[in-house]
Amino acid sequence: MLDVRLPIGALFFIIGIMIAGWGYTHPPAGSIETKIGLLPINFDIVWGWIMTCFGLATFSYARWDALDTQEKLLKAGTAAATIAAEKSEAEPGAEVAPGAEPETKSD
Amino acid sequence: MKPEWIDYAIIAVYFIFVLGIGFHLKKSMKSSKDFLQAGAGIPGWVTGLAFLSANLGAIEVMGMAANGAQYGMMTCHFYWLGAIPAMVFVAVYMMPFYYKSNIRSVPEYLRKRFNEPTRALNAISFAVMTVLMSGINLYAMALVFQSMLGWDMNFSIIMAAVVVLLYTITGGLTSSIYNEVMQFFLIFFGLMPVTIMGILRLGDWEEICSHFQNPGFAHLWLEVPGAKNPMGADFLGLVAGLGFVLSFGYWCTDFLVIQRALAAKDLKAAQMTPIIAAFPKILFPILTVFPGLLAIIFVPQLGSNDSNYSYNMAIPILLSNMYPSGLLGLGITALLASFMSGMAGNVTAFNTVWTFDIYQSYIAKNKSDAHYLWMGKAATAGGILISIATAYLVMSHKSIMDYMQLIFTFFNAPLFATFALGMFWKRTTGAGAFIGLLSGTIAAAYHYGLTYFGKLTYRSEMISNFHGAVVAFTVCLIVTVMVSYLSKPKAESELKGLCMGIREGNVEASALQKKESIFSKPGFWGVILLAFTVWLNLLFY
Repeated sequence: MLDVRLPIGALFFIIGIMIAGWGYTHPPAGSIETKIGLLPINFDIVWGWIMTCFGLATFSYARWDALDTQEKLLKAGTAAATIAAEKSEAEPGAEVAPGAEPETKSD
Repeated sequence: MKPEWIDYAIIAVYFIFVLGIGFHLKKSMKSSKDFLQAGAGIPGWVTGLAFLSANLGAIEVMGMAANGAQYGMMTCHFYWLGAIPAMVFVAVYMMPFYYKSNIRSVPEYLRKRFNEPTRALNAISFAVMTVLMSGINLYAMALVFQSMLGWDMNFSIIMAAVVVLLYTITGGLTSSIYNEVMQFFLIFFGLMPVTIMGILRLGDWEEICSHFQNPGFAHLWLEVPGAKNPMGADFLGLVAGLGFVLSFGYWCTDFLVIQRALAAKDLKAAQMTPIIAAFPKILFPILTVFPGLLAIIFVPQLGSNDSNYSYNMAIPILLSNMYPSGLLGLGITALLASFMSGMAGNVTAFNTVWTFDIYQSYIAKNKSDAHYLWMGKAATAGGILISIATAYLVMSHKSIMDYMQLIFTFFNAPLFATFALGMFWKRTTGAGAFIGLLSGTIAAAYHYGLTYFGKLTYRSEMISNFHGAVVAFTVCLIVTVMVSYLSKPKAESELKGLCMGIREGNVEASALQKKESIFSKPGFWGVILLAFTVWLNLLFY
């Protein structure tokens, strides 16, 4: 099943870049109105970069999580295979765990 | 500010992602369970945000901002009185019954606990309610297209309906849940700049309050005694109507939200679903009510007879006035995402109840799973078609929120009495539940008739709905108890896992539960949420 963090990360990354890019090429006419006057901030650039960083962080975290899970599964698979191989050595004819490949010894 | 090409491009990118998720999930939709129940294997944080976002449609975003502009801070009662306590209650007390009884829908629980007629009554009334609610979202979406992009209303309604149809018919409930999570973040990023810009322009809370002509506009409870507030709310209507009947009725029995929790991977994740949702929910007035308060300061003509300045337009007007191009596209996308997700939530709840509780139970029993999968997809298309018709119904109501509370008064208020008695009083019988539920709904209709024809008057339509909810709940409660005493209850052996106070004999499971860390218990987080809610009520008394 699709990890929802991937499309969320990608969407925010793309939209963030678009908004920030627009901000760089089209400076706003009045900037932000505040109590003490106009703030020389281009909100498109600031918010665009915040969204880009959020998107990148979400996407990277999902990818890292997927790799971590894969690694853990691999380790679990190797451990299961080792246990199964030891068991089959101790009790010849014992069943090997499904999906686990017994280690073959080569001289 | 008129939208530029960049704004349209942002909307287009969003549509591509929404449809892309639906088409990506299409290959996983192999059975009716995958399509209608999301395979019941989604992590708690995803179902938690979906639980919140399913309720974060047009009503929440446009409706709450409209109420903020009209009634001021009292609108926060819909969160701090009308949501958080009920969300904690459903997580701690009701979710174990829903999850452990292995049901596919809320009406199915009623069949197991009571009988077929009660289930049929609830399934039909729920199906009607979802398409009415779905129409609200469709209407609001078309309103945004029309006012901000200048598109024709009819064309906007059809276009929005087609997009929702495409992604729900391909990816089913999973697609709806995934888009709800995406929409949650879009709403945050799309509306937060309004709040930030408003604070920068006006200053701190005290300075913002100084702009209100009525000082009570900035308080939750100050003007409730004597009902001298813009909402016309009294203690009975607020606490019993909104805080108890309507709120518990919605969060504890509405299948639209319960369905998200049932898609969780285990009981713990299902229980944590409303708790996870409640934390952002408690802070959501910052994104919804607060912009409403800003709108009435920046646009004083809001609420006048000119339809372009109706309270419902508070957020679209603010976005148009405050956002530069680029950010405007994001704001419009956030609104569209909210409406589409609200509509998709209702449609996916409708197709499940239609397929399992009406079609499979009464029209075509014992068909193949492929047949029910096909029916689920057909119900999705049918639900959207009916929603288009109901979208035009909403136009006759001045406020989206009033219309929605009226729907809840009819359907959710009496249902909560049925559920409360069914789950916590084992003597409740099937006959009592059916007759009570029917009587409560009729009482709500009778109350509405009295107010509609002027025989009963309230200070506002909203307060009329709060009182109507109390009437419907009370009638349902009394009739159910009376009929239950006159009819024979089910044997205790038939109520295992369905009713409190029935021993299940699962000693090992409860012993294991006791050993868990306090931080993994929904009750612990519930207490924190309630304490925070009380503090907020005191802060903005």
